[in-house]
Parts: sequence; C-alpha cells; structure tokens
Amino acid sequence: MLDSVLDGLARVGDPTALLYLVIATLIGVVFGVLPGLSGLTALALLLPLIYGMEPGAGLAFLLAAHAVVNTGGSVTAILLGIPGAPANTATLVDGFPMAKQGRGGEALGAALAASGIGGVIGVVFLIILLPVLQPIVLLFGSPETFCLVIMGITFIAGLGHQNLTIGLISAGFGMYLGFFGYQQVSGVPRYWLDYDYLLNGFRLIPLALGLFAIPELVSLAASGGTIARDGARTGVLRADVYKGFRTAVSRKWLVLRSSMIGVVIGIIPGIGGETSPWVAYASARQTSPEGDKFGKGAIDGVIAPESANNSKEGGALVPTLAFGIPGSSAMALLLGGFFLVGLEPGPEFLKKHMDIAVSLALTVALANILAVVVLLGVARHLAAITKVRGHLLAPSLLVLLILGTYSVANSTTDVMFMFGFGVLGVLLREAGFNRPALLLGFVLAPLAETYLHISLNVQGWSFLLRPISLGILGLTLLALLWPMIRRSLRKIRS
Amino acid sequence: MRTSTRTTGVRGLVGAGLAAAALALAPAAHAQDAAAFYKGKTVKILVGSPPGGGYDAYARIIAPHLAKKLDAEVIVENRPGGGGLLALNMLVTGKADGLTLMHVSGEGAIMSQLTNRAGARWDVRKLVWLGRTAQERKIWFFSTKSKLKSLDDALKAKEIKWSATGPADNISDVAAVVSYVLGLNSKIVTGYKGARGMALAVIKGETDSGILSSSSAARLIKSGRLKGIAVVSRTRTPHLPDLPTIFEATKVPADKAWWIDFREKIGEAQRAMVTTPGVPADRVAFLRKAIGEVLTDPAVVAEAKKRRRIITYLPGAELAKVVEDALNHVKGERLELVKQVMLKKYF
Repeated sequence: MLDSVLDGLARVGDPTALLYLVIATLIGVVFGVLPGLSGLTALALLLPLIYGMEPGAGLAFLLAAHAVVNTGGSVTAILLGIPGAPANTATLVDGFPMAKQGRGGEALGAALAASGIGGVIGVVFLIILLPVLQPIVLLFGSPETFCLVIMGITFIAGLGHQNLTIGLISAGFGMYLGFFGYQQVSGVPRYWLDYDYLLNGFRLIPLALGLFAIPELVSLAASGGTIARDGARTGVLRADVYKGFRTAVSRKWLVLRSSMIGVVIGIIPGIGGETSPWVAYASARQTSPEGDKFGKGAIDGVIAPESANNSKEGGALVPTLAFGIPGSSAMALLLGGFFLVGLEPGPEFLKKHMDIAVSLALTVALANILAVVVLLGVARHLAAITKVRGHLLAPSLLVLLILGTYSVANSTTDVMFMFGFGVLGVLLREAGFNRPALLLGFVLAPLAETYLHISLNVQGWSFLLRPISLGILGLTLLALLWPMIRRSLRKIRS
Repeated sequence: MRTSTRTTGVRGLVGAGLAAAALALAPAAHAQDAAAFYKGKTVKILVGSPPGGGYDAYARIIAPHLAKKLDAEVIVENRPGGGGLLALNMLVTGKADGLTLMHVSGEGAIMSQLTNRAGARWDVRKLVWLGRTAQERKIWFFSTKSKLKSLDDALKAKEIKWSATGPADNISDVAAVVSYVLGLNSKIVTGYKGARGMALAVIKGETDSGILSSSSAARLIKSGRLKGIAVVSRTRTPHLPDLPTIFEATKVPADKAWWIDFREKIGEAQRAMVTTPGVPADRVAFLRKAIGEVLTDPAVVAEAKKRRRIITYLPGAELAKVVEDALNHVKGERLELVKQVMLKKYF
C-alpha cells in the first residue's frame, strides 16, 4: 500500500501531469462559476479530449476539472444568489444574504476555505478506505439507501427559517414535481401529458436556476440598485476575505462533521451529490447555538454545505473505483473516461493499478487546494460585482443563465422550462414558500419511492430491522430530537 | 415538311437508345445525388444514454470514419432519457432527410413496442435499419451469496429473486423468459439504476439472480464476484467458452424452446444504426453502404477492440428482415401470452 502511495505521488509530481492538473482546475473553476454549466457538462465536453492521453493523466485531467466545480460555484451562489452548480444551491441560502449585507467577501473566504478543507478531507477518507473499498460498498444495500433518503427528507423540516408547516407544504409540492415522468420501478410514465419532454420528468438544472436565479434577477433588474444594499459597508477589502477564511478554519468540528456527511452520502451510489450539502446545512442548523440566524446570513450556513459538496467527490470515487458503479452521474461520465483510456475500475484495477487510484485521489486534493488559492487571489475583485448596478448586471446574467441551461442537453425546451420555473420561483418567493425544501423534496421523493419499492420487494417490511438501517433511523431520530435534548440538558445543568 | 419513314425509324432507335442509356445511368446518378447531398452537411448520431456508456462508445468510434465516407461532419449527440426512448422518439418524429441517425438499442426498441410501452412513438417495422454494430448473448448468473447454488436448486426453489432495471429493459424480459421456460418461481425486482446497479445488487446478495450481456457478465464471473449458470442461447459465447448453454445445462421443455429462440432473435438487433422512416431510398442505400464499409474496416474493428468493444456487423437490409421475422413470430394469442409473461407474471 505504501509503495502505491509513493508511486501515486510520483505520478502526480510529473511535470506534464501537473500541467494538465493546472489547466483542468482552471477549466473546472470557470465551469463552476458560470451558472448552468455544471460538473456534468464539463466532463461531457472534456471526455472526448482525453482519448489518446496516457491513462493516468487523462483521468486526472477529468477529475481535477470536476472536483473544483463546486468551489467555483460558490462564488456565484454567494455573490449573485445564483447557484453555479446545483450542489451550490444550499450555499446561497446564507451566502447571498451575507452578500446583501456587504459581507460578500467574508462569505467567499469562508466558502473557499471550507471547500478546500472539505475536498482534502474527502480525499483522506478515500485513501484510508482504498484497501477496504469493496466491503464498505457491499454494506449499503437498498434498505440502507432508503433510510438515508428518509434521513435527508426529515432534515427538510429543519431548512426553513419560517414555520414547519410551510416547509412541509413546500417540500410536498417539490415531491409532487418529482413524480413527473417515468417511474423507475414500474416504468409507468406519470403526468407526461403526451408531451415527450415530460417522459423524463422535470430536469434539475432548469428547476434550480428557475427557482433561485430568476427571482433574484428580476429583483436586480427591477430595483435598480446593487446586490450589496446601499448603506452596507462599502469597499471589499482583502481583510474581509481572510477574515472569512480564518473563521472557517477555526470551525474545525463543523467542517469535519459536514465533510463526513458529504463523504458518506457520496459513497452511497444512487443518492446523488445534490443532497449532501443540504443535509450538512440542516445538521449545522440543528447543532448550532445560533440556529435562528440561519437563512439570514450565518456564516456556518456557508461553511457546512461548502465542505460537504467538495468532500462528496472523495466519497463518490469509492464505489466508482471499487466496482465501477458510479457514485453520481458525474462519476458515470468518469467511468466512460476510464473505458476510453482502456482501463476498467473494479477489484482487478485496484490490485494492478493502485498507484493510479492513489494518484487520482491526490489529484482531487491538489486541484481543490489550487482552486482555493486561485480564487482567493481574485476574490475581492469578484466580490466587487455586488457593487455593479442591477440594470447593468441583470442582462449579462440572463444571457449566462440561458446559455448555461441550454448547454446541459442542447435543449431549448430546458430553457423554456427554466423561465416557467422562474415565474413559479417569483410567486413562491412572494408567498413566503420554502424553496430549498421544494428542491430537496423534488430530488429525494423519487429516490425514496424507488428504494422503498425495491426494499419491500426484496425483503418485505423486515428490511427496517437490518442493523445499519436501524442505526441510520436511530441517528435520524436523534438529530430530530437534538434541540429538545440540548434544552433539557441545559436546564439540568442550570 | 414531311420526314421520310427511314428518318422516323432512326429517330426512334436513337430515342430508344437514349432512354436505355438514361435508365442504365440512373442508379449512378442517384448515388451521386446522395453523395452530393451529404457533402459538407452535418450528420447527427443520436445516442439515448449519457456519454461514456456502451452505445455512446460505439457511436464515437464510428463517427470520424463515417465522416470520411460521407464527406460530411458527423457529431454524436447524447439525449439520455427513458432508457433511450426519448432519443428514438426524437428520431422518428424528426425530418426524414437522412441527416439524423441513431445508435439505438434495437432490442429495446422491439421489446418496448411488443409490450406497448407508454410513450413509444415508433414502429420497428418502419424504422430504417442501416446496420448492426454489435450483438452479444445473454448470460444467466447467480449471486455467490445466494442460498441457491446451482440451476437444480433454482428449479426446486420456492422463490428466486432477480434484479432488473425496469420493464422491457433487456434484463427483466430475458429473466421472465427463462423463468417461464423452466417453470421457476421467480420474482423480478425492478427499479435498480442501470445494469451496473442491478449487477451490484446481485453481487451483494440482495437478490439471487440476474441477466447481463456476455462481455459485462464475463468480467464479473471471471473475477469470482458472480456465478455463471448458463448462456441463454443455443450456442456458447466466446467470452465464456466453458459456460454451458441453457439447453446443455438442463432439460428445456420442447414446447417452450421457441421462447429462447424468439428472445435470442430479438437480441440480434442489440446495437444498431437506424434513421428516420421515410428517408429517400437512395440516401438509405448510400448510408447503408458507408456504414457497412466502416464497420467491416479492419482498422476500425481493431480500434474498437482496443477499447474493449467487439463489432459484429450485419447489413441493414438483413437486420430489417431479422426484425420483421421476430415480430411475425408472435401474433394474436401468442403476443398476448408474451406480454403477460414479460410484463406481469413475475413482477
């Protein structure tokens, strides 16, 4: 194992490999920053390029680009309220209010630190788990996956800063939207209205951008002001960014816990990376003494999701390398990359090419660090965007949104749906709905349904009694009751 | 001025001669039309799954070579959704100009049509088949963690659980056929994400049994993660030469053997290039010729082999006949039985 680590280090240290790493990282950051262009799009565009590259270098190229997309995505999420990639949506809930208060630089610094540290933690876990990857993946079956999804759903209630009922209604509506299209178990198309696009249901990126980006754009254009409210502190100093950076570094346990959440959810194939930042966010809110400030500009609400959405990449590599089972849709593309260069992940791969596996892990870590360094350097210039007048900013952003949404599947229908959801987003925002809860319901409900069906078909209701499933449900209950427990403990102490 | 009879006769001969020449030159002129049509245009190959998958891989191997033959730009466009359905719908409802092709799961298209899958807009009889790229036999395997250790165990078992991804997914339907032919007490659990997700479930022991194409199954069986039981075919597969066919491994009832043959026939259209119904015949001929040349080019075959993809070419016209035959085999009552077995009986 140690030999492989050393070999892996040697691979990464090779000058050509480093050059690819730098180029790929920069590409990934740009893709992250541009809204609508996500890691998936980056991978899809870069995939054909690696044909002919030396296997390790080609894969490192892909991974480096993908690993840092969420780092770049935090920039637009915080400064513009537009998620650069779907997994950055949780960041804007607190990050954007901070930008409006003139604390955009601080939020950015915190997000970058969290992303970098989270990404590295994810890699550390990957390397630790490399020798025992297969037994780990084998432990989690459909019942365990179902319980994890339930855990995610219960956290939905903890996402709103308004009352629980509104959160649940919003989540319910999101679940309803999630049911459109082919049902995974029975193959029955629901609500497709004889319209081919809807056979596959609503798509995530048009929904996320429509719900979150369009309302902000409308406000920007209509208000005539800037993002950072006039009257908020002017002048974005480098000091702000470093202040945020230091805050994140000091919140050791928060970062560690959020990264763990990201890694675990990343390891389970089938849950999807969009969930982990929300679970981390909800968990941070539950345990933070300043839970009420979440949603209004709490820096913990930026640190938690950003740690998770970078650490999940390390986790997602686990089933991908161990079995060739993609831990996320991006990993499915990466798998394609493996085949393209003539490799095949799986037990034999780990035996023969452990050094490549290690070098991939190290690539992710290095890319994360590099992205943070680059973005820190330009952070205060980026943050200056919050000072630009709305009527100048809005049209450019609109163009970016349209291009980004279109590029996902070369589909103008996607763009139309984004605008449709934009209307919905504006209405929901005015009505005080909980849009994050809606998004989470949309992502999780079909998963819950599928894994429940499978678990019941395989084992009947006794699947709930499996040890890991019980453990996860127990943790969920604990997390739900934690605020009450903490209050009782305080009373007992005083 | 009146012409003499002799001039009329000569004129008639010349006219006939010209007509004959025109007739003889016509096919060449059409071929030239088609070539001229494609020159400089952009041809799209649709793929109904994300980049990196099997169908995508073949399409990307073919594209540059086809571009040279057609003297056109050939791009691959991924349109995942509905297990490839969305892309096929797009193809058949698009313009019939021959500029849009698709690398399709032919057997998926046939199975979806046979089982009346909601949302399917095509008729495989009307699809223009340009050529088959690859076809593999299906392998039946068990989990190493299952209580069932052999085919005989399966025959006696009270219940055998299978993994699959969904109805008419080329996994669940084969499982249904095997179960019906051997009289197994099967329960097919659908909903797993992709062939890999389904294979992982069997590896974990969540279910007992599954079906995969021979190259995918061979890798897992050779590494000991899965236990090969039989090839669902009359002939063995070169990927696993020691694995018996289902006919060798057990006694297949004579009156039910046709099910295996029928499903195998559908499997012959596993991966194929198609284009929109209604494309002019000369362009179809031109495309078929070009694709045939690409898929039989030793350099292309070798390139594919390096990427672990085997090409087993069948010309488009023959493939169309295979599809026609397969569908004619099941009509009326038999079709109802097929639908019942493949969609309802074991789910």
